[in-house]
Amino acid sequence: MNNIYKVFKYQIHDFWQAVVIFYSIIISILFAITVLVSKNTENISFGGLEMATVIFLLVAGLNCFKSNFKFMLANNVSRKGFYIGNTIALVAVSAFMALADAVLNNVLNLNIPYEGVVMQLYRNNSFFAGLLWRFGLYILTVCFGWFVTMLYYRCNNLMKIVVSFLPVLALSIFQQIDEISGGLSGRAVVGFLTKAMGFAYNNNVYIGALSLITGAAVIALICFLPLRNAIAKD
Amino acid sequence: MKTIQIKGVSKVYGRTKALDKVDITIESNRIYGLLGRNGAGKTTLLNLMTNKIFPTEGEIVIDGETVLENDKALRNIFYMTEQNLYPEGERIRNIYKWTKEFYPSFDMEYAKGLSEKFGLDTKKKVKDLSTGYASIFKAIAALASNADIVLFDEPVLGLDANHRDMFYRELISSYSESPKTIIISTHLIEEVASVIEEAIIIKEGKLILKQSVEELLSGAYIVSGEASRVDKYIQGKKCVGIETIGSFKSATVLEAVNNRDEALSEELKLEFARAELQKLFISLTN
Repeated sequence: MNNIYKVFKYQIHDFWQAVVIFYSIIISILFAITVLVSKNTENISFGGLEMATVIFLLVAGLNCFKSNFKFMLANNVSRKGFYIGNTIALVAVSAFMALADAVLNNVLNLNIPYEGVVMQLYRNNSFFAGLLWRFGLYILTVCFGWFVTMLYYRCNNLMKIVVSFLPVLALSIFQQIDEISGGLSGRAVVGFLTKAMGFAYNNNVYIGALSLITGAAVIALICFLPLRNAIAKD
Repeated sequence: MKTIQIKGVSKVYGRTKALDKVDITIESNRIYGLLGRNGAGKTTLLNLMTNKIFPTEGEIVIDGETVLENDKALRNIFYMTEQNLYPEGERIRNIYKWTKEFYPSFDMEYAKGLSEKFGLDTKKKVKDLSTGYASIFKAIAALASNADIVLFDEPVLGLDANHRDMFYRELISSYSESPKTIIISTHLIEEVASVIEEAIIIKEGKLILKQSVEELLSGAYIVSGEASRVDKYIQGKKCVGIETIGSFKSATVLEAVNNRDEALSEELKLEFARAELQKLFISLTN
């Protein structure tokens, strides 16, 4: 327990500087936009702040492992301790950024014609729903980044190439199957996503948020598999 | 009491058996020298003792607690690795700060004092350190950790003679002030001979000797003098490290001196000297 808290503290320390820089830039840009654009400006609308956060968190996820894992090994922290501490840190960072973006979304809404991603997708303006959905998206993104970096860390050079081409190969195979099945598989995937994201249930944001969080939990659990036997590598 | 028990530990990498059923009990508060030729399995053993890698078979316990993924057992050990595990972009002073987080007994003042003594600039980043200073930094972290068990893997790698001497002095001083279990893996056997109390020698993954240095050295001696007389003296004796300079010869005899030997050496006008650990090591591992 003691070590888990220390890992968490170190991981947060590692993220903190980047998060501060990120929001300094974002807030500066948004401030400039707010000064230049008035609320009643016609034919212009703004949105997509969340995409910047998603890119930031994907990069953060990709960078959260190698160097920090080695440092934890130097301090004799078990892999289990690192895994739990890191997971909690990723949850905390995602929650903080979801909250920051939800607040920024509301502040911007008052000053400029701005629509956040939740409003664009679900036509839902609830602060809590938006916060939860953003948290789901962010935690899924950061966990995906972690998973990718873990996968590459454990692979040898040949496997790295195989893993890199696998998504392209999978997509090509899927397209072939879709063609053969007359678009049946494509429709099945879209149908699944529509239901999972809550669009099929009266644009239910909470179903979407729950699906995103479930996806993140599954990825986080999968991350433990390559980590449990990982050793220090250059 | 922090006793380490290595029970039937083997480690296989592909077709290579790095360690083969090693059984060692390491008693607390002693300084051990872990000796072996390149590739003997020294680093593998240290890595296994600190959960850096996993054994193929066997187990390692500290006071009955397995080290395998066990934070409770692992927090008693500090391991100065030869490989750099520290973040390249982090400053030394920050690493000291974080080491104190993980090792609450870490003596920050002592670490700062040692850094000053060794001329290590703690504002520098890990990536900016030379090989020697990287070793100094890691050795300081280990010395200041105040862990019950401290493992050093090639602690003087890249250090000049002055710094090596300083390190050994600090090690002994730290050990005298607060006794702990220290294991030093090194190739500089003659240098650590006066520091270590017990030698653990590994050859091709197998433990071939675990004995106190005193006992080991008392079982051998060096005889020297005029070459032909030395030849006469060592006839029928098991010898290693035979060196000839002009008409002078010396040899390490692998047995204890008895009265007959003393009489013979007097007759041949030969001199005896204490055996050297390095020569014994060479004979044992060849």
